Amino acid sequence: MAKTKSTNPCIGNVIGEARPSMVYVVVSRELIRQKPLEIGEFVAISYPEQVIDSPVLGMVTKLSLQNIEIPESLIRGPESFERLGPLGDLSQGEVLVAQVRIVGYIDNGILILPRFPPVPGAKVRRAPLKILQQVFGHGHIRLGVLRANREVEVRIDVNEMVRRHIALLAITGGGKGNTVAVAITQIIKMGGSVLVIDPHNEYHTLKEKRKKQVVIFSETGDASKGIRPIQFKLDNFGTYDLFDILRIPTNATKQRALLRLALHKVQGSAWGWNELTSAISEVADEENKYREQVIALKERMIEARELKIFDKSREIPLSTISGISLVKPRQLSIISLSGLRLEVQQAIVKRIAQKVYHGGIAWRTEAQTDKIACPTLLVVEEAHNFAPAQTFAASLEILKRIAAEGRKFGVGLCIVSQRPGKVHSDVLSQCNSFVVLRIVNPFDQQQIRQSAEAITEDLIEDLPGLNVGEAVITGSILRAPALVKIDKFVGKLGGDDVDIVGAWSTATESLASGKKSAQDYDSDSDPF
Amino acid sequence: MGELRFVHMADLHLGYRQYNLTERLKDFGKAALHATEKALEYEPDFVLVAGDIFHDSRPYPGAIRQALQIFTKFRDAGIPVYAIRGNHDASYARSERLGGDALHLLEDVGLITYIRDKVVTFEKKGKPKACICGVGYYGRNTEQKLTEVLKQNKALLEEKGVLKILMAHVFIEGMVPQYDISAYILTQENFDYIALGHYHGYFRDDNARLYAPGAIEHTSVSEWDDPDRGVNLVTATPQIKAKSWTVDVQRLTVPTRPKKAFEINLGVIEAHEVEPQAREVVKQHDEPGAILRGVLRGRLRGDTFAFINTSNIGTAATQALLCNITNELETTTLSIKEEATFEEVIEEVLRKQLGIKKTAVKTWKLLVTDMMEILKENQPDTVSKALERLDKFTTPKKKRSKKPKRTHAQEVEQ
Repeated sequence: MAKTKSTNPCIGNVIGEARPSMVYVVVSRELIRQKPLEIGEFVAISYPEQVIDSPVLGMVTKLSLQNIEIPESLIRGPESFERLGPLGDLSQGEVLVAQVRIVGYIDNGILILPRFPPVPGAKVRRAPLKILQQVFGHGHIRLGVLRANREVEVRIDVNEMVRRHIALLAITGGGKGNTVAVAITQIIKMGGSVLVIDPHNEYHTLKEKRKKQVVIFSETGDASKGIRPIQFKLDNFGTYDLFDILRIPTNATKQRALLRLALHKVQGSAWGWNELTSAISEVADEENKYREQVIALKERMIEARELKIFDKSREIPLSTISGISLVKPRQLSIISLSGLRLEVQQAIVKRIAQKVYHGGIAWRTEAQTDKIACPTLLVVEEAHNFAPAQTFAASLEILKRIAAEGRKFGVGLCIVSQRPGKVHSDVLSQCNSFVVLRIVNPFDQQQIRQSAEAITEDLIEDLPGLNVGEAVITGSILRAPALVKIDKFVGKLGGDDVDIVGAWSTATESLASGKKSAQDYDSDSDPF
Repeated sequence: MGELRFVHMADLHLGYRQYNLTERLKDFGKAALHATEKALEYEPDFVLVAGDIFHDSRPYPGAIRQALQIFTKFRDAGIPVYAIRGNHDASYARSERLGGDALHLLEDVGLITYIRDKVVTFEKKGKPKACICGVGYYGRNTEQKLTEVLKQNKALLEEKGVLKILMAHVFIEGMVPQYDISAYILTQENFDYIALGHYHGYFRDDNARLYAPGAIEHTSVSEWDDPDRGVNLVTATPQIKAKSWTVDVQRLTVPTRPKKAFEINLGVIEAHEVEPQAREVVKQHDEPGAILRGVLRGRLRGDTFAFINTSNIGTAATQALLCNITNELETTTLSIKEEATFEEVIEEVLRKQLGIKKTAVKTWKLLVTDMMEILKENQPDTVSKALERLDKFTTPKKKRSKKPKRTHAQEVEQ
């Protein structure tokens, strides 16, 4: 340890009232114009050697720079500074004070928070690389590097990620998709299983270089591209799910009653839309009423029937040995929900979450059938739509359950949202780890503050100031909270920003050339 | 290009001597024969048998003779028959070890084409080509076997303009709680017709192109819900533009022995009365040649250990082939006094349970009956009468009985 201490020169000293968790440091004046401290940077504070013999890490959370030789009361404008000129070099009066939050010290590989403050006047150095690597580099997969110490890899603990859930929050364009892609592709490489709920078709490009590992499920499926259809047995949906899927409003009591009776009738044997339709007519005949409701229900069913999703006998299997299934080691399953109505999306998410959750229970109890093949991570994009705080969603209850109990059954949850304020707190608060990218909305910041215990005020204040791709990571996936520059995902992502102006100009060009040859306009190269 | 017509049958269970009756053995043969004759009327191009031709892996010569008789008819008409192994026919391992099973035998004499986990093609001059992928019974491992077979025969199955049929002997999700394979897996390769066996009920899902004709005769009571038995007649027409086939599926039913399940409701009854009364009911249900199944329902009075001779009851059906009676009578350890009137019951409750004195019981009883009337249909007359009665209770000096009455009175007011 003595060696590491000597490698970095002393840059400042602890001053003022030192507390076990927070100290102020006066930083050497020379640094201001050479290599100033940054917010998020780690420093090492020396404690008396008899107490703690290794340096204690601290993170710079606030910086303030004053000049005591410039009396503010005398300054009226630029001319005042001219008059101060003859007094000599004013920079002599500059004082840089850093607020440093104590992170802890490594003892036998464990990060320990000291219970007493450092002595005032204690030496402060830039944190030694070795210690930073010990703290942030011990996880399974690499997410990026420390923002202030680019040579230090940040690796997160996947065990903790799946066991205790994770929330990934950012405004749109903040780098959510990139972060998810960086993480899940590595998890797949490790042999893990990931299931992504993808409402905006953002992740389909992951398949390009990983044909065997990535399985995409979409509404219609496309055998030629290897895209599988999303199909669920209609009779696995309950009465209220069907009310949602068919969009029967609560005040349409007669339609609801009729559907309920019809469902009662078809139960017991395999049924699909055809059987349900004839049951509706039969019930109306038997009851000798509901004539109009029969027509209304049939009309409502037209749209739902056009979707190939709700089937009489087919359902995507949860886990199979050789066939297509949702959960499989070394497989990323992408459920592409783009183009579907929100109610239908919610019904699908509910069904998938139910299957995975019950599969997890079966896996844990070592049941014979319908169990997941291995623990899995369920990534829910746009989580505010599937586990909303205020409105109703069919998928809410099951996501709450997974958030609360999933870890026992090998089902991890990764909540991804740009509106954390709209995600149900029962779900968000169960996430032990947070990766928070740029968040500007104060209401959303508030929600993060309430849900993430490990995020401190100073980090929250920092959130609007983050650049794209920079994140605050806290919780059990890392040993200590850190400001991280997330790696750029190598490969194409569907959620990448579209160059609008560029697309307009190419479209105009092709329009012009299209007059010469109309075929060009139809070619695949055209973005529209 | 013309259309293709074929017959899909399954679960013949030849050789099944159900209820230990030779008649049943003949029934299964007859049903299969009827189906064959009916199928021949439609002049199909080929026939599929989706497993369980035989009920036993070591069929009796009688069962084999039935099979010979049936499949010879198809051969004589020049109609090829494709069959797969069902769970009753033989186990894969046994068949391998012992040098073949009964289906091999049928194949050796040139009556069927035994598809052992492979793809065979049907080709006939002037007819479109069909390829039939057949996977025998592997239970839960069917999926693995199927994936294997599909992989090995990729080229054959990707040929264009060919009718693609999958034949398997499995339970799919939804048929039974413990299913073998998800229908999703079966439909992945875009087969035009998926011919299933193993499930004894009738199943069709036109969207998914999954079909099971069901067993040719009822092999258990649970199948009696659907009295019809039969085979599927399938007409497949190529849609050149859509590069697919439309299939029209028609169910050809065959006559089978009548079956009837009924309940014998006896109410509360003495043990010795069961037999004569039940026999009367059985007689009413008697039907020539039928298989009857009656369930005794009701409550036995008195002796818990009374022996009910169910087989004796069954003999009341003189014309039926068989009448099985199941005893589901409830017994009770308390003797029931059936003739007790409602008033007697109330009196007993008031005196024994609530400990009310004999002298007061009469008034209490009236109060209770009034209360019940009020609760039933709010009549003002009874209400006032009841209030008067309550008044009588409250005015005398007896303090003990005051409290409960208050609550009653409050109830009435409400």
